[in-house]
Amino acid sequence: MAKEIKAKRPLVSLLSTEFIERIVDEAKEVLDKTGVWVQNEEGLEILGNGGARIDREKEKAYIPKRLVEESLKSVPSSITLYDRNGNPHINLEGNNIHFNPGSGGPKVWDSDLNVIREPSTQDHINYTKLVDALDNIDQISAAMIPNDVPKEIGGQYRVFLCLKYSTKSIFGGTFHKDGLQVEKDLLVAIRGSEKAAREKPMLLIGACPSPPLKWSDLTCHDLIMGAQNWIPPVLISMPLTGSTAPITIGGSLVQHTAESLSGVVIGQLASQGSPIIWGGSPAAFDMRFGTTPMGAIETMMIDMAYNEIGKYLGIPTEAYIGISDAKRPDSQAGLETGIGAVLAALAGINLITGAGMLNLETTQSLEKLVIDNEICGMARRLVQGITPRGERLAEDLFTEGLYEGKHFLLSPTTMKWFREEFFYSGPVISREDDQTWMEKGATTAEQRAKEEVKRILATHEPEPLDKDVDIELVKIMTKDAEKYGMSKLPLP
Amino acid sequence: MDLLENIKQSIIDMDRGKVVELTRKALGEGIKPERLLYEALTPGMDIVGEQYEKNIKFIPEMLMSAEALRDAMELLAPILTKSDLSKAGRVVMGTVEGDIHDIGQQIVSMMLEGAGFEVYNLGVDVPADKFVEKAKQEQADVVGMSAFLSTTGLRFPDVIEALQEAGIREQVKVMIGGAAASGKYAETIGADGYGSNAGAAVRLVKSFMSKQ
Repeated sequence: MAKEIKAKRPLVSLLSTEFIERIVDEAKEVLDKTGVWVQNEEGLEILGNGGARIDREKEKAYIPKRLVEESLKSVPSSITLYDRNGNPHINLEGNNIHFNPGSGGPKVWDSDLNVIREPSTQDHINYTKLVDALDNIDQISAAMIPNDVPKEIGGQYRVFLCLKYSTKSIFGGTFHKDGLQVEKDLLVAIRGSEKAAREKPMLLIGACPSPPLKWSDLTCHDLIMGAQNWIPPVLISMPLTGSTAPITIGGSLVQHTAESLSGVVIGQLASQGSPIIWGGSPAAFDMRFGTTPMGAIETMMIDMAYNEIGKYLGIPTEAYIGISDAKRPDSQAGLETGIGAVLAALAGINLITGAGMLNLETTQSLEKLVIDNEICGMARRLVQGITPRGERLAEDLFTEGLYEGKHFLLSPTTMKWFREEFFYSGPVISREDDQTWMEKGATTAEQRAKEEVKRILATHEPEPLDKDVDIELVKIMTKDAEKYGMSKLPLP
Repeated sequence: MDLLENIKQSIIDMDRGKVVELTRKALGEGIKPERLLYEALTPGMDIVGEQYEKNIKFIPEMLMSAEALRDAMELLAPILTKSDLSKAGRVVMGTVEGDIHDIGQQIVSMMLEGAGFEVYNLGVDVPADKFVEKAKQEQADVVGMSAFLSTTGLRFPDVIEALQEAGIREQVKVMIGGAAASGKYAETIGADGYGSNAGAAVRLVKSFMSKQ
């Protein structure tokens, strides 16, 4: 009788434990000796009360090691998010991976006009419906910044559209200090009460320190409010090597760790035991073009490494990876996204933010989302590993009257496992013979993706909201828009 | 002349020490500062700029050459006439109010200085009236604004309006840059141009000056 062998979860590691400890120690020293700028009154107060040394004039907080270590003790190592219907949706812990689209870009790839342009409300609605239909993209992000509403409401408006046209949990953001309150009101309307919303969180909020070592008024506000209101903040530290952070990968990792630790401390002081995510969007700054390439291999290495540090500290992780700098869904888009998504999956990053994103993290593409959906499926299958099946692995080789060919195809073992053992690609991936391919129009992946987008948008109907809830959401959002001069939302 | 050629090469070689040493030597030998500026320093920086555009030299190298140029300029400034000093032009640069992203505009500023412009960089989170005040004070030729966020991109028209109200809109050229800017947006708000990257921004400023 064979001993039960479990599938091995393939993992890739870039840092030894010693190296991780060295980075964490140096980061703690930075917080203690150099400190962080905190341009938010509440943040400074919270840190001061927690034991940090505050220089009010310089708006600086010097965080002692003891305070960092205490905060690390109370931060949860797992977060469960729920979908719009209140069902458990995503479990961020261990090496569980989930994919969500890259956000929040001010541009969209228009595959009819073949141009990059600004998106409208309709674009965001199409995007939301599409992501709702894509099985390998777990969560939806407030990905596009619609240009037909006042910019001040852009943050919460995107969340509103995600709530209306999809049931998936949401990764959101804000542009304005009043934004998160509106998002909270929308969530309470969905759940029915603040208590229910607290018990079944479904929204994550980005909280981005400004490199190096600074918390702006808005981002610190969102961090504190998110921590206090069951809207888990995703810390998005973004060192750019050699321009807004030290040039070496190790140096940038220290900055990322320092900034993120300061976020953890603020979050735990704001609400002890509140969940937070160790995320980021660093880049290996390109010294030729002065740009921030998400497709650079070192960008991905920094992501993977800081994710290892987050896991070492026992915190769920996130990263902007599986993104391309290509300007349309072409070969560059495929290769950069493919490499990134697979590496992210092998690193065990809990939330992999990137699907659909192009052009230095500024542009979303529906066609790319469909292609990336395939990449996500493959990556997920990869990390499921190889599971030993059956008493005897090669049962058919022991069968009486064995011969090649048809036997395997008709064997009961084959029938039992052929669907579960393999990830079957969608229509975007061409696997037919070339004659058939010619007859079908000799298409590229980009062309097939465009057809697939059309098909999904024509046939997929997201689960509609309860009529009363729908009315309530529109009411909340319209009231907010009125503050900035818009009396009617540009909804279809 | 050998000495001028050496100074030019030292700029290209990013050798700050040598540039200062040789510039002092040249001044000591009675070589006119205008000759140093136009026959050694600026040509050296032009070559660096070309090599940067061709991806032969990278940003840190280009900035180091610009620092060497700046060191030499410190020696020449007291002796050069004001018109020689900012012969290329005077530019006010800044990131608009509410925005703290500045790496792009810092690179543009340094490249403009390298190209011989007098640059007044106001930093980040700059209110409209500060742009106007500085432009007036220094009789600027160009006002360059940067914004990264879609929210702060809304501040560009504020600055243009403030320039109009102060009565100096006609005296300056307005350039916008950053992720919140675009050629189309520049047209819409009545800016004079859009710099999509550092090299393009410098070329744009040079084109503004050549049309004067």
